Amino acid sequence: MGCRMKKNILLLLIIVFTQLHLSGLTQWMQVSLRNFSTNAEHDIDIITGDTPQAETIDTASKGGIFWQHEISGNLYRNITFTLENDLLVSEMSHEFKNSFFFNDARFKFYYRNGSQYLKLQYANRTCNPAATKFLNIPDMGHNTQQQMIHNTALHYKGNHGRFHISLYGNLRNLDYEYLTIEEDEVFESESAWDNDIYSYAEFSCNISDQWRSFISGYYKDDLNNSDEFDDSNLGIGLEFDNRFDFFNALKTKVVYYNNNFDSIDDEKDHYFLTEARYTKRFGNSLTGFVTYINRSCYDDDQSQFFRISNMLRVHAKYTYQIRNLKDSFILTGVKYNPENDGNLIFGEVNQYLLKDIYLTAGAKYASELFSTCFVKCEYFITPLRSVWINNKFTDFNNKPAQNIISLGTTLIF
Amino acid sequence: MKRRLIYLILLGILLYFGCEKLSNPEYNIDTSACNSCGECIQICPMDAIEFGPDGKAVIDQTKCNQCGKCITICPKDAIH
Repeated sequence: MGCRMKKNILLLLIIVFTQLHLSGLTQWMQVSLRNFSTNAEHDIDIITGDTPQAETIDTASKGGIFWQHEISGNLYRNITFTLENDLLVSEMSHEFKNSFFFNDARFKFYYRNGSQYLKLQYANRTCNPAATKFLNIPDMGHNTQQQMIHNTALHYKGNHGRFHISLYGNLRNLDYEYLTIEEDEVFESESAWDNDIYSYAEFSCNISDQWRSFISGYYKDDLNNSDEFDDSNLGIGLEFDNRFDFFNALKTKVVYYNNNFDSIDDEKDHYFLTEARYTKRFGNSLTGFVTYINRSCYDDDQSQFFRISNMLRVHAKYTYQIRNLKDSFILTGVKYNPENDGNLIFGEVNQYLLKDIYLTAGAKYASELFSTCFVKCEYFITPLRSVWINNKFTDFNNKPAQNIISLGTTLIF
Repeated sequence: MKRRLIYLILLGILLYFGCEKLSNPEYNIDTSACNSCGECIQICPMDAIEFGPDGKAVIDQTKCNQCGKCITICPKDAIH
């Protein structure tokens, strides 16, 4: 299977690259050297998770390289493509990652023709098992380890007058290995696949310029299990989207979902989602928005409404200097999310220092979870090429603090 | 417009104070804030997060074990 997949990927690459001369390409590339350090105690096994009995673990600073590359262009008249590739090669560390050596490639092809839109996407994530932690696959215990993930997705959107249709399907394959214990206590590694199909359909109608009603259906089939991890819902909703003038815009959505799943609480069978986002501009310098999202459910058995989560986010940005390369600005905001202990306050400043050099600094404080700050200095060699150094420090409430220094370059050509 | 905003605020107050909190938490993504960086996908120990139709991250609630790691790592604080 792996050999055949490699051939397919190679064939796809050859087909794409033979077409590249047909049109101009835009490439974006970012490469950074990383250094990770932590104050972790010797009490965490970075392979299996929290295991107090773990042997002494090396907590010295670790190095790595992160390479992101994106190529986009036109294949034919209405067909565009994007190739994205992220490669991380890093020493194992206490950083919050599942794999420290992976390549994530995404091939996206778009077809746009007036009111029709079609996207075909194939994504492949390949991990080096020697630098990858264990996953907790349902029903498989705690000794599974991802090797490769394939995502093949198709998305169609079409407008037919006042009516719109959106169809989406995604076949996902997770290739993993797990350990089995034989009678004589010999551990054997076996390969397996976890296959899921995700599908979504939405039909909507524009009632007026501002109002839209829609119905939707979602279905997930876990092909490995009978129906325990299957999931489906039907939704019906109303959306209001209006830009009143240049300074004010409001978008709201209310949706009712009828859920049908076995692995989640029955209380969530009748599920309500309410979203509102109000955007306000004060002249050209000060902008802001308020977002409110509520998730609630109604339990038939108890004849009672329950709130699942509330999220209120207030965000403001003041731009005090407009420049060609980057604006100088201050932004600040708060997020109120009591049900998930996600309350936080954040701020960021971007300041022009001197000839083509910019300094960005930010901080974030979440009382229940973490506090973090970063400083980034970027020098633009040309408007499309820059080098930068970034330092980010995070102090988690229940995990070791970590610091990441990155030295990188960003190129557009 | 002011009337609509007042209705929204009243609805929010009603939804917040009028309902009892569900015992089990649930995490979701604010798609308007998500920047599709994929950090949450790389950290999820249950392999429960993947990109959805619009290229934004989506949490598969049947796989999620509510560990909350994604909420700490999201650079845009889009998970709630």
